[in-house]
Amino acid sequence: MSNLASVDVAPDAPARLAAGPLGSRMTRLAARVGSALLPFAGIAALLVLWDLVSRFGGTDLPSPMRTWEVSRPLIVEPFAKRGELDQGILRFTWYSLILVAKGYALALLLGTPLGFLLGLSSLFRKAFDPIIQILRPVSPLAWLPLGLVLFQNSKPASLFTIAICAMWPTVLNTAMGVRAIPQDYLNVARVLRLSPAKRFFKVLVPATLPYMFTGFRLSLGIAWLVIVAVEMLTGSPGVGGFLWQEYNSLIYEHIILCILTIGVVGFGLDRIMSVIETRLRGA
Amino acid sequence: MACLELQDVSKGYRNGGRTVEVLSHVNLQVSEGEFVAIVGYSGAGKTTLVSLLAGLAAPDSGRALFEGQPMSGPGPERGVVFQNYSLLPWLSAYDNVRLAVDEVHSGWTAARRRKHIEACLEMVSLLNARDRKPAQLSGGMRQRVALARALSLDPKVLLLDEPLSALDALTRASLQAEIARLHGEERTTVVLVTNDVDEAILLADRIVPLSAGPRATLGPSIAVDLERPRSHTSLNRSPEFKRIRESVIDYLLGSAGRVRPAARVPDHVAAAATVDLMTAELGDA
Repeated sequence: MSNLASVDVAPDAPARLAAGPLGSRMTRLAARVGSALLPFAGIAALLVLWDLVSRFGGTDLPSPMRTWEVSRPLIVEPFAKRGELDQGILRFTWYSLILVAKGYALALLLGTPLGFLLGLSSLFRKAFDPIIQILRPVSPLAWLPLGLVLFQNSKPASLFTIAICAMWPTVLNTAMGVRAIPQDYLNVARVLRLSPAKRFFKVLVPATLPYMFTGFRLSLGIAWLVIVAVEMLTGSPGVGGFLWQEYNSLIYEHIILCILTIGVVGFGLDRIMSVIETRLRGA
Repeated sequence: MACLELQDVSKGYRNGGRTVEVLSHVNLQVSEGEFVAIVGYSGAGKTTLVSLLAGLAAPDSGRALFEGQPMSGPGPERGVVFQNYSLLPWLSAYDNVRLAVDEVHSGWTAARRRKHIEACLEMVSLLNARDRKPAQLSGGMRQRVALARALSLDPKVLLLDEPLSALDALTRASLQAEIARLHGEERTTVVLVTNDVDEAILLADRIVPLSAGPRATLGPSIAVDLERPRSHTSLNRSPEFKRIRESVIDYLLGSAGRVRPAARVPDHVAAAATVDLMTAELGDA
């Protein structure tokens, strides 16, 4: 369109010169709109692919339209409770979030002091670092049975599993933050002869805070990953439990709804944490 | 009795299993109320020397004494202003000073402490920037907060580790005036470590040159008998000033500088030091 316009005024040289910057501004605007639209293009492409696979893939995968129709009651009344197995999707999400909050709190309560110990004492670090490196990659699916053996009950076993899987980033980042404290800050504490408690709360903790928060953010991501596995295995109510139960009831549309919900909530949690983290770093 | 004293002190650092001696057989006596400037090459071990005087590091051999007693560690009676300010970035200017005052003057009432903090910030003309964080302050302002913090301890000795070397010339001159004024008013003992010969002459009663490292040691003292207040302009016309400067530079470039760095100092260190001193000489001409 802008091309046509510039052809029209072509004989008029000054106007043509003026049209140059305007044209380039239009192109830039188009580029910006285009890049803002790209995510939607990606989503559309995925929907088309999904639809094609559901039509011609020869599987039981429900189509996007069908998924929407079947899921609609759960979405339009997200907090409804029509029965134990028939509840709004956000109501299930809420159950999961509460469990995650508890397990995550436990992870921070255990992980932060452990991180400080690792960062402050090289003896402690030498003693426990190898164990941590070995326990860190163990999957939640492996921890849960051990939790059940230890606590004989699915609820504390779930918390145990979330906490032990989610705490490692907090532990390692806190330890790294403590070790990265500039010697200058510690010298200040020494010249002032701060008591150990004051040194800890007035110098070590504030200096480590940005690192700690990176750990907290990564830990929250893991806690949210773990919840689904834990709920599936223990059958407790929540998005993960609901997902598994709907698989058993052959309502595959709800599986997709659950996956999308888990993804959106996980993304939201991460955004919130990274906003707080940026604030802390800026301070 | 000397206020601060180093007796035959040597100090080295372990570097991959090998100990490199930074300071070798250093002797220094600072009397009460005296302003001593230690002038030396970059990388000669000036910061190590300040750490020893502050008690942040212990000598490998020899003794570091404060008021006749061996030092057991750092303490607020020796206020240090570090080269890189060392302010806590999460605290405002006021709170940085407050951390020191609350700790050291814990016996005072809250009102008296607040007054003291404000007085210290006022002394370095920073009262109107009291609520700013270090990141929102210029380099000169940060260094003034660090100075206010050190002064707030009511220290017997003020140790200044190249406090002005990171600043531009104008800020530097105004802070030099500030330090001269504070020393004049409070009669605090001051040890200033610097690589700037002019700065040393402007401020100090006595200059002690530090030879090039490794195994740096202190040379003979050079007294600065120039009347105060001194200013850059009046100094530039003073023949005594030129004489002092020449003897300091002669010592550093002569036996202590030229012979040893060629053999022992890494090239970049020697080069940096030489450039420092050459600009000093050019300025003189």
